[in-house]
Amino acid sequence: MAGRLGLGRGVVAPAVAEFWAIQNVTFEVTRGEAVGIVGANGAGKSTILKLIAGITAPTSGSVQVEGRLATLIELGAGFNLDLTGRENIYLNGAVLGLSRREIDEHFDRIVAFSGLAEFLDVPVKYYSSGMYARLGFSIAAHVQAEIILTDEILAVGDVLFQRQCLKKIQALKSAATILFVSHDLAAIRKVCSRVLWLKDGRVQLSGEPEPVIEAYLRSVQANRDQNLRAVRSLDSETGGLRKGSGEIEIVGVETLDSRGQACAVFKMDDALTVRIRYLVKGPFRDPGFCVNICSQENVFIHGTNTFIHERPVTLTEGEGTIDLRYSALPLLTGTYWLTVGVASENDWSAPYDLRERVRKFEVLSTRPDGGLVCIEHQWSDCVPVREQDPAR
Amino acid sequence: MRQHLTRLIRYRGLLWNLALGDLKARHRQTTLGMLWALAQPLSMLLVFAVVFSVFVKVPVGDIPYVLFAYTGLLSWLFFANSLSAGLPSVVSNMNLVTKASFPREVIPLSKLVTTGFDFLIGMAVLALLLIAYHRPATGALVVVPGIVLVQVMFTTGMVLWSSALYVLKRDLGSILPLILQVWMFLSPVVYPISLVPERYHTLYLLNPMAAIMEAYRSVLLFGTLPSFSGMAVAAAISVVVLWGGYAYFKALEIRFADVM
Repeated sequence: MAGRLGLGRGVVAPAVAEFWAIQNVTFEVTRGEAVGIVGANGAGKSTILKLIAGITAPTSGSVQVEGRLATLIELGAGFNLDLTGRENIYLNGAVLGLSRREIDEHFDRIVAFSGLAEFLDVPVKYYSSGMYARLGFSIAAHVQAEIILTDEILAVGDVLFQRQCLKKIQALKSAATILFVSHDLAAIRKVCSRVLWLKDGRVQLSGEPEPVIEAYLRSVQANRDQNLRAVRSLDSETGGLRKGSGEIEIVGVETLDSRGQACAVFKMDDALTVRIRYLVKGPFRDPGFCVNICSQENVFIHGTNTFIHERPVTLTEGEGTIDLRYSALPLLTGTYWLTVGVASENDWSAPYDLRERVRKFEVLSTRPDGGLVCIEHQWSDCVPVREQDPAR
Repeated sequence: MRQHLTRLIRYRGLLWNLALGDLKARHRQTTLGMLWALAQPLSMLLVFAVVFSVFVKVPVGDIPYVLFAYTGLLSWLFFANSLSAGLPSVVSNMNLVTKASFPREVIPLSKLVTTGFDFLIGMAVLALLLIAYHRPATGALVVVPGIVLVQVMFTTGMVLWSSALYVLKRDLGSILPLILQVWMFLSPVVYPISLVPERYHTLYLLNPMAAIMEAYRSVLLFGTLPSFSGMAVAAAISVVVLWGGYAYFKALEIRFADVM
């Protein structure tokens, strides 16, 4: 009987305004199943998890849970920043309902999985966000819960750790019931045996992963086309246009010098690194980035993207960065603008986000040449033209 | 209610861990460490001793005023500090409340463990003071745990009730210091109950803290058993407050995550 949960017509509404976060949602998950929940932001995915976890109660309807829950709604929720990693393992284990003895039992495995053995006695306030997430996941994954609820847990940490997490979740599948909320449809495909598509608080479709994900993607695509018609002009700071459907957003673009310091003025032949900061907000497929350099007068000088280089991009969920490095700028004195975008399958007519003239940088060159680009050249000596051709 | 209690017992580990975390975090990076638990009662004691036994002579019989005031102060500070720490505890642990599921009363109760720890250290100092002043140890001391129990019940009830109410009504945060100040002067912390006009005594002793302080004093300072009727009333009120506070907390608990 362990590890089984059912949600009967679960409904939640805050008392203030009449808004039903989810309505008429009925489903049952039995032991050994891994159910993925997909849907746009605000569709009610997290609400369902919170209902099952008993964090909030349904206004009407019921939730039945049989088995011990581990909630990974936020990794490391409830860490005490002043305490060490070791102390927080016990604290977080206790939050998940474990006794000291039980945590003792799993302690070594938790530490081994997290790979943080040497930082165990350091207060977690000195941890990086990645280390924080590592520790949080390691604890939750080793408490032998019968039901595991995860909400965008792959939103933090490096790609390597994310892969490790996915593998662990797959391993846990045989012994536990898993509810998996993620924007990463590839991860859902890998982990889940069933997918539930929520739309505006109702179940739109549920069943085998493949057809549900396909249907969901089609609807997302349709929405995107609609959104694109209303091109948004944001970023008045630089006056550049911005358009996109917003599943992935470019939230920042920086220019860095060879030492990795933010810098806006470069010399000719300096190295320049463009650091793109992105934020994943919705589902995506086969994403890639582009960077274009334009002159002040909007002359297109150079453009490249990850598709040209056939470089598959693995996005970290949540916020992340990607760098493009020019080893030596061949640009002459002037002001140059960067246009940065992210799109699916090299389709730049319908990007996730495309920000024109999002950042500028100056180039100072000692060369007095005119124009924009320095093309290597040599002048020869003057040579007289002899009347050699008898025909003339 | 029984269901709630079994769940609470299952999460006792979390209660200890939270309390322990608080204590460790409080003493980490301090030079005096645990000694800070004594700083507040001793400094207040010093002020009271100067004001109420040198400037104003409060008649306390043949008991040294320091002993008299310290006994009252100790039980008062346990109560007042528990309320001050407990009141905002649920709200300040918002991150935990909205992200994890566990019996929420664990949070305010963990604050009681921390303040209770300070109370124990204060009691140990009181014991040393009693020995230093050659107060005789009598058989009446056996009722001390009983008095402590009544105070813990009353305090716990108040903390549960107020921490739950604070989630809904944050005004309480501004009012609490005022309430505590008035309450302190309505309790026999710095003066003996004999200074209160006789006809108000019944009313005055409806304040469980008054009865509790009187009981501590009669046992610890005078070596006599406390008035049975006074303690019975205080105990009855405490049980009602505890039961009501817990029921109120559990009734509101499920809305915490939505309200925050």
